[in-house]
Amino acid sequence: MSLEVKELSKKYGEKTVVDNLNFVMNEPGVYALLGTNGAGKTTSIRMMLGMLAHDTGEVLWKGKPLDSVTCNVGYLAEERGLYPKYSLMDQLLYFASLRNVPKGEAQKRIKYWAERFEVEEYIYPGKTSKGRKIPPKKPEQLSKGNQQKIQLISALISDPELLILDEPLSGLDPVNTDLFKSVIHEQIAKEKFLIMSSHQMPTIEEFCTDITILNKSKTVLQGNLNDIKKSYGRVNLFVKCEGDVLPLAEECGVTLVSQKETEYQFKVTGDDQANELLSKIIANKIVVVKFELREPSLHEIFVEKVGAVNEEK
Amino acid sequence: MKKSDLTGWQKVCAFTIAQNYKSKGTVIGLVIVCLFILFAGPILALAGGSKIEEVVEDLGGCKIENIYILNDTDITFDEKEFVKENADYEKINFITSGVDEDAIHEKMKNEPTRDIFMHIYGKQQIEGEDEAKYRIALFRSKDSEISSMEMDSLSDSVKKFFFNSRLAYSGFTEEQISRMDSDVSVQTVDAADISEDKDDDFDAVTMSAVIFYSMIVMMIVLVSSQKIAVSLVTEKSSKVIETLLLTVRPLAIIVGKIVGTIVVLVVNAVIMLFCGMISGVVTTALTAKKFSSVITEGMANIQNSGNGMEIDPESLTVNDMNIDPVRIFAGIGIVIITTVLAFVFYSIISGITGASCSSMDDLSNASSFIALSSVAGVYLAMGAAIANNPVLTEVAYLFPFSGIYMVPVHFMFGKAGFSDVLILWAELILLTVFLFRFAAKVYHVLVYHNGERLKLTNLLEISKSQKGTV
Repeated sequence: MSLEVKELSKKYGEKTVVDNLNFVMNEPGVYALLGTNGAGKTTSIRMMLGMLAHDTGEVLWKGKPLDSVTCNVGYLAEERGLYPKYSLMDQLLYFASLRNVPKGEAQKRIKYWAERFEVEEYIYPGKTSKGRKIPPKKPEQLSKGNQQKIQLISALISDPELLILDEPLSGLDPVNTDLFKSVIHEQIAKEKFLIMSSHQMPTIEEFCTDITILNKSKTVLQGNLNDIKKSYGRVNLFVKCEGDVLPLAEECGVTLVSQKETEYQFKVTGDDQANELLSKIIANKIVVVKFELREPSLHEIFVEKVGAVNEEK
Repeated sequence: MKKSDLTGWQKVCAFTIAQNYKSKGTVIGLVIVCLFILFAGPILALAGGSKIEEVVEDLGGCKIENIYILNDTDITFDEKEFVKENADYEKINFITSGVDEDAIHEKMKNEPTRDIFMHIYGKQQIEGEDEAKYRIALFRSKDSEISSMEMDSLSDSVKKFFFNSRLAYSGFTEEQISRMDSDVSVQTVDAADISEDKDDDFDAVTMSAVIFYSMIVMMIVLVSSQKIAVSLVTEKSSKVIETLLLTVRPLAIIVGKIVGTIVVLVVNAVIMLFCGMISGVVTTALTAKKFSSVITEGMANIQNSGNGMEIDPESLTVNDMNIDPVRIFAGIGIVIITTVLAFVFYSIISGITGASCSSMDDLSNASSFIALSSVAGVYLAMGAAIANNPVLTEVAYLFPFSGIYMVPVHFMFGKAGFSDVLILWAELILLTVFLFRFAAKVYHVLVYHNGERLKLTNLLEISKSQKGTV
């Protein structure tokens, strides 16, 4: 076991903000920590990293308490932060030194990541056509996306074994989203351990193998994403035809979820019900453009789980 | 507090120092102060040259040639006795008979002379005065070489001699005159303070030193500790704190900042001291070059006067000000240690204050406690120094907010004992340790606090609720 979170709890006064969180990461990959706003994701991450005291529980890395000595950790916080006045190079070297990266090595890595993220002009001084030096922009003058890139460089500067990304793609344009995704894929390929917290379910589905869903401090769903999806069965049916299939769907007892012209979203009870509908469409000689039977999306599972718990309460 | 709580403070300290000297505002401010120190002395030395020349000339000897005396009283002004008592005037020619007042005045009006006309009037009451007085008028010529300083000196000598002449005229013996003429000093001493060797005389030098020292220390302590609070609020409001806390604990951050700021203070002080030394050397060189001939002449005149006026190097010590040189050196050490302790004490308060705020607006309100406590301490120290009341002084010594401004200076002037210094240090260390432990408990919660400024009661609640481990 590489990362083990055991019975982690935290209370502020009488209010429980994290209640008995448990999970294990045995293999490199991406673990998702999901939850509604205020569910306790960021507090859990802070406790895991030792930034915040926990009331009970422990966090182990390869059997030892996780800290900056036992594990080389990188962290992209949800609330991005840079010193507004100090130069970016100074800040990145400072963050690197705090994580025991030698200055020379840190400079090499900054150069590499600055080129990769195309932010050299903000870190290194430029030159005018007349050869005069132009100082790089101050952090407060950077766009949100560029600040986020600098933050990710700071998280990656120690070449961490364990990388924690809190909402890594929020606020990014599609081009930069792809850039960030490519970096995350690279880290996965390098067999790093990643913990990701995000509200963007498609992103989680793209990267994560295992998930924990938190709702109001409690774990409401946990496990391997594929296994979770399989447990729900293939109940989502998407149909696109060149004709009206609604009467046939009614005959089969299929529930209509949404309709846009001749594109239909149905909820079925299983494979048999879907096959029955398909047989009827073909028998009625309606041309089928697309017929897809799939498992529920993470978004649907999330809404269902969190919604169900909230309804119960 | 675990040992790991302080891991990484050196890196925070190094970053604090580096960024301080990368700040253009700080560097420009330091350069301006250094330039002022460098050039103020030499410029003042050059500008104040004529004054020095006058003083040196005065030291050189008496410029008066003749003194015409017109005495309207029955009291004899014996010029031979006067010269006996005032050897500086032995070369002066005294003219007491056939003095034509109008002719002398006319001469003095028209041409510069080295003459003095002294008119001793009989006892008379002038309008606006309660009683009749003897009056002595000393005249000098237009554009006379005789300086005002010399006139003042002559005036004092004449006044004293005429007083003694009056007593002698009344039939008093020399012994009786000596007894009457002796000055009387009145001193009140509290028996409890005898062992402490305290002098309760009102002492303007000590009071000025307390005020001057208080102002400087207050500025250093307030400005520097405020910088720590601002830096912490900046880290909180800009969310950098989240990145820092990944590898360093909150206490390491505050310790790094305090030590870094102390290093900056010490380096700045050394730079300013170095500039002051250069300025002193240049000023001395300039003064010596410009006035060397005048001084040489003046010294020659002093020696030639043959009146036994000697300058004793031993007597030119600070002993006249009742200051022991050993105490001064010990005092400088005490000043440095006390300032550092006061700075650390205020810095921790600033650190907690900064951490309890989420924005600069909050900080300006929260910092009022630091400013007020410091100003109150200064006022108490100054009040005790002015009032010179033993009870108030003792209170000011014991109250750390005022003790930091008063005890080191009073120690230097021999008014406070080493026991007072030790008590102050003990208080500051105890308070600092207490605050540090308190900060250790609440700080990691405070750094994540976002929202309204936390009050003391909130901080105490947080401190009580911290049972968990990091």
